[in-house]
Amino acid sequence: MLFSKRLIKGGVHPNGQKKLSNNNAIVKLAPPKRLFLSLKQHSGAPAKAVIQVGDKVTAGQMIATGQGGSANIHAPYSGTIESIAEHVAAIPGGGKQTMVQLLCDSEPNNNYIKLHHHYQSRAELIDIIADAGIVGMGGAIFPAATKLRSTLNKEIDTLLINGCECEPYLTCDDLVMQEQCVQVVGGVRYLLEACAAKKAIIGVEDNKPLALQALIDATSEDDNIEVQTLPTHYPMGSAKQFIQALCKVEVPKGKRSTDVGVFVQNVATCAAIYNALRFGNAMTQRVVTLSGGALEQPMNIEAPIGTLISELVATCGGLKLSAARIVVGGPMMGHTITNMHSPIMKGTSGILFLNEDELPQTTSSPCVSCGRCVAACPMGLLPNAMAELIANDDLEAAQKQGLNSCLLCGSCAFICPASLPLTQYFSYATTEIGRQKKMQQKAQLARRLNQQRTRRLEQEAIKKAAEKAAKKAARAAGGTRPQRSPRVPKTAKQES
Amino acid sequence: MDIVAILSLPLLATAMGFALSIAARFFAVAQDPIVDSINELLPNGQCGQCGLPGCGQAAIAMSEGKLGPDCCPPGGQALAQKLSKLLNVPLSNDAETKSLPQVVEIDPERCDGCTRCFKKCPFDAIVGANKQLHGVLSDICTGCGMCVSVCPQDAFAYKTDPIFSNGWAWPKPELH
Repeated sequence: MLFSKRLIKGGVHPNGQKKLSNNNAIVKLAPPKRLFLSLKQHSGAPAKAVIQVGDKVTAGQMIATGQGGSANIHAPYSGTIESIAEHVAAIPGGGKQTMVQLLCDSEPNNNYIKLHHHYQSRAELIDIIADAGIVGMGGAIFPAATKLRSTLNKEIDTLLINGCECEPYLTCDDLVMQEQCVQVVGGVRYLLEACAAKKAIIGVEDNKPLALQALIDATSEDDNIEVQTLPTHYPMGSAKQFIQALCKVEVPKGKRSTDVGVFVQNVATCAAIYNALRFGNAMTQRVVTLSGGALEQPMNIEAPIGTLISELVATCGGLKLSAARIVVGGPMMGHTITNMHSPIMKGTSGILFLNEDELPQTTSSPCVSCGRCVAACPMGLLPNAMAELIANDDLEAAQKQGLNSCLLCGSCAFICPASLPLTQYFSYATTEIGRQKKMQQKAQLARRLNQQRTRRLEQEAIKKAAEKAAKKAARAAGGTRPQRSPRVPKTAKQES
Repeated sequence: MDIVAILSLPLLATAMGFALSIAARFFAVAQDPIVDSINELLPNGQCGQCGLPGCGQAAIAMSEGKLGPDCCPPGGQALAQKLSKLLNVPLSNDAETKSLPQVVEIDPERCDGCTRCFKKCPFDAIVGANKQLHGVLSDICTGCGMCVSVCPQDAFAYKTDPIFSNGWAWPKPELH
């Protein structure tokens, strides 16, 4: 092992903390009283609500339709729409999102609206996935159907199924692979058909032996599905690193995985795809890891999308210690929230209640140029140099250093002996560059409009002068005043 | 006779070419080429917030070093950074230049639809009609303030550009 070639560049080995939550079976949550379904569960534009306040909805009924590459949202249970209003969301910064508030029926109606799930072509198969509102559950929350459609005119050689779950604490994918391996493998078979790949490889880190065994058993009769063990190494689960480890190809800068003939999807997404295509079930539930040292009983809960985090905590028996920090997602790439009255979304993989001892040191000291961040960066960047440039507001130079390739995986900040907030610099710079780009576009627009306006004013002046001259000439020739034309109200503004 | 006809035109063209090249050298108006590059970057709103009557004059003043690269409020920080790079002049680090870009908004209670502001707006960023409530297109507004100075109702207020105020973003880390 010591001399074996490393599969990915850089990376770190954080303490897994998986044992906290991977011993117990998935607990199915009793139907909650209220659900809060955000209209922005996915990357891209928010979905458009198709129901009104006061409407009765049935379980599985579509309540919002995806527009412009976004995903549909369905009601997990039958009930009444109470409101469509702003509600606090589990997003970075603790902002609000428009959410559909659903008051569930006290006696759940078992009439579940099924999707139409018969297909005859690849495109139809992908349409069913789109109807089911399935998004990638690995973290990018990109609508699965949009991603699949991009493979229709590309040749895909290998389908990679990501079961790495390299983030510490999180075990939801692990438990899904153990308990729902039939659904996962079924989903892989559908995906093979959807992207017309020759073979599929399911990659799982070696800290999940039970999941590996379950998958090997479930795929024993499939010649084109292979299960591969990967070393436990953060960030193995990041798509680019995962492809590198399994296919030995690097996705070129600025290209997508499909450009190198590879299609990556997460294991839990596979299970959701199976449920949609086999049974016509829309994506209304997901498995969430609740873990952390402050939680009474860490566990994995299968909960409807829109369940409040406070209800999940109650199912775990509440907190045994004061939670010093609540993190949504994993500790490496997740973000903190302060309000437990926010609901889970399709992309919420875990909620961590960390106690004081689990927090990193936050006081940072000056960089000693030890270079550990350079060694840890899986993308081969120079985090220390980039952070210094960003600290000095030279964002352009930071971009030249490769800021756009940064995964924001947090390896550099994790390894930094000076506890510098390196990843935070990169997060800041990425959004700041986006804003400055928008400002630049705005300035160009203003410039163009100003030129158009100047031209228009000139033309108006010429026209006015010509009219005046014509009038004068007419007066001089006829001797009488020309008849006044009926007064036309002046248009307030001409279209430019 | 043919040869005269054939040669006369090339000769004429050559002679005129020489005349033009001599004229270009003798009657050329000397202007720093950097003025054009600066002018290209400026928003050209002629708002006068830099203290000069127009953007052309501002570009000349900047090329002569009389104005700093951060003199143009509508251009904001992005423009200031570009100009500082172009002119090779460092940006000063005081808080004022780092303030976020502004746009104006109209108080609907006060606006009486006099149309003075949108006639004045150099970017056509205000829409409205006689005796109708006017509105500002914040996608275009550069916050130059030309409208603010002509409004008899004092209906304008500045606010941070929505590009910077919408949504949450990671702040720049401050080291302790």
